Amino acid sequence: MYGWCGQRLRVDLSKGTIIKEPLSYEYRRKWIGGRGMNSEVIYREVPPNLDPFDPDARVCFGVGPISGTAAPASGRVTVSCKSPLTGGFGDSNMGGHWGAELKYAGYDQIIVQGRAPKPVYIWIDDDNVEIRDARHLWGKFPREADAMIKQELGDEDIHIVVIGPAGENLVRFASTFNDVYRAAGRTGHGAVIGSKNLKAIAVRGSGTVKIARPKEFFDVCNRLRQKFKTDPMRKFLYEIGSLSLINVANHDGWLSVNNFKQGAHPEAWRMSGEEHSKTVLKHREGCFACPICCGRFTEIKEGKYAGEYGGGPEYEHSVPTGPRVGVFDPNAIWHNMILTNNYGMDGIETGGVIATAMEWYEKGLITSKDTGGLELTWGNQEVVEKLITMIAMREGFGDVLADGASRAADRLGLGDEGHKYTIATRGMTLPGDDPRGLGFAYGVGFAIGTRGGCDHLRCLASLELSGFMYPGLNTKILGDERPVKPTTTVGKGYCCFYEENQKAMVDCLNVCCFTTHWSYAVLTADQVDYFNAVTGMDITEEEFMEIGERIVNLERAYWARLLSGKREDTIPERFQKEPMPKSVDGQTNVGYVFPVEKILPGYYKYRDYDPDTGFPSERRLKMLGLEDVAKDLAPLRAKYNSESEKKKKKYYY
Amino acid sequence: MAVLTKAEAKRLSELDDFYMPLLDSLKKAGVLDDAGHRRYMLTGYYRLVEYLYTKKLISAKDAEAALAEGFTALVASLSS
Repeated sequence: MYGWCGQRLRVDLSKGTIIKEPLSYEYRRKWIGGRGMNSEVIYREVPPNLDPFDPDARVCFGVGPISGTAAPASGRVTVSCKSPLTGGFGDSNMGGHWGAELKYAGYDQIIVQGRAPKPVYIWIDDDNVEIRDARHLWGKFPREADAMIKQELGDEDIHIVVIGPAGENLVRFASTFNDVYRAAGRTGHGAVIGSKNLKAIAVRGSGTVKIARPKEFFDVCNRLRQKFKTDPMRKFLYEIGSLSLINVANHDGWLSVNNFKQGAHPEAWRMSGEEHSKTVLKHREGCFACPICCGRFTEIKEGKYAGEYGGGPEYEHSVPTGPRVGVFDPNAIWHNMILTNNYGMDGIETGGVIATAMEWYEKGLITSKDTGGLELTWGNQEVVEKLITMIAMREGFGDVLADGASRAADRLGLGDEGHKYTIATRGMTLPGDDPRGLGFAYGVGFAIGTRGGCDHLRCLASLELSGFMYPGLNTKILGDERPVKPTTTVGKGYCCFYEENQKAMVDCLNVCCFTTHWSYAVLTADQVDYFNAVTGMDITEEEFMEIGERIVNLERAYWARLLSGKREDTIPERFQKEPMPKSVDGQTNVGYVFPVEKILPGYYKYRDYDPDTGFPSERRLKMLGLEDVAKDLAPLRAKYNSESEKKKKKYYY
Repeated sequence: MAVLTKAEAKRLSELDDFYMPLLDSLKKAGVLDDAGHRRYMLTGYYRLVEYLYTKKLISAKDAEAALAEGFTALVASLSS
């Protein structure tokens, strides 16, 4: 067999069983790998009304057919579950080297179910798979647990997926890490893993990935690597990392400042990639087979936090516990990043929930009586760092925030006014980019994203975002160069449709989107070329993109089964009604609001979503080979539009 | 022979989101069948231009202009 290993592991922690299941040709062709296979398992095996912390819930780790090969950045891993944060479909992916190692051990996917009676970790050594005692690892930070497992197994070269204390404490936005610092941040699968009393999965593989047409494959890889040498995005990402976006965001007014009340700030330059590189950058890092190497390693040299170190920062990790909560001291921001990584939490939701609480506090919806005496004022770093620990350990007011902003609003009894400031959709707070400046297609992703409100990477409308660096590319794919302008509705419906399908395939191949359709060194036709060369198949570009469409529809159907559809396809009121204020000289998006309702009908047409419910149409589902899904949704269409359902306000599920 | 009328070309070139209406118009004109409509929706504009050129519905020069200038050039070619 070429590309795939052709089998997955199913580990039942309640029964203590480990089963190797074959993956048929038809199954592999239909779902490819990573996100595709994981989504299929979550849809079929996790009923929509099941508590995500129920032992019967699943958490899946998936890689793709080209994972572990020389294809650019082919080392990512998708982690999927029913999200404890949103209650809907959830997944996230991470770089590092664990994904490639899993392939070398002989597996395309791991499904974990059940709950161990005591903390355990899974040790995969090629064919030998064991469930081992992890009581001594419980409570440890990822970096500590990683080192202890390597010492215990006597092998420095194993790769380990691990959760931190936040996952053990069922913080609903706990993350999963591999190689210590590479995080699958969003949707809270770290808590699902913790609910199963699973601390880690260590892997060692001695096999290889068989390639059907090696010469053809290496010709493609060499061609693509040549393209990276001159790719304009690669230069920025390598030299100053994703923090290269800070000064751009601040100029174009899409940096989230004080819970998105502003889009820029005069002090933001201090945390830019340019400044980071000059002050605290220890070295650059790359994930498996990456031609870009955007990873950073930071060591704080001065002040209160001197001596602290860790992987990162990334733009999306730094902004939420920085400008979003009004903190602009760079060393404080790096410290907050290290702290959330140590506890194993999603930096976006951590900052998002604290920023939301700060706005509740500012508006008088909560007082210091609710917070246990903490003064939640903008920029109060002492409170921010205290809250990060309190959230991770579920202490005091931190326990309320550990359920995420939307659930916290209800726990505090704040009603609609409280939800107004959560800056979330479908139960998850949005990442640190304001669609009033970054782009309207990007903002549509918040409304329709199939993992809830955050789809900054999964349906990233990169043609709009980085298209300006590739003149003519929007015209080539969309037929029009105008969609490259962020604040226009022109061409955005098709842009979202195309890029969402494309990103689904990126996540099935488990390559990094920074190398494909963010930078544009690798286009769809190139992906088809290396996929066919590795697997020996001869699928067309049309078939390739149709698989992406199938996955998006299946995930969308998961939400439909929760009666989440058109009415929930929206974005926070702030973006729609509050014109962006001016905060810095030359800011480009002053006065803009985001008219999401102008774009959604066009997007629905490409998707063939039912205009009344927003559910995938029966016709399209059948076309995609999802007849059983069409049957699942049939009785729900009328129910969704019943008067009783229409009255419900659904902030999470 | 023109595939689109001048009026149709004008209507398309004034739309905010032209691509689906263009595919619909080409289907109505018998240039695309259901499968073709779907194929070029999935694979993008440049694949549609390639197809129209292969079918000799536009010239090499028209195809080049369609890829350089975008859909307004294409609908102009298809209506002349």
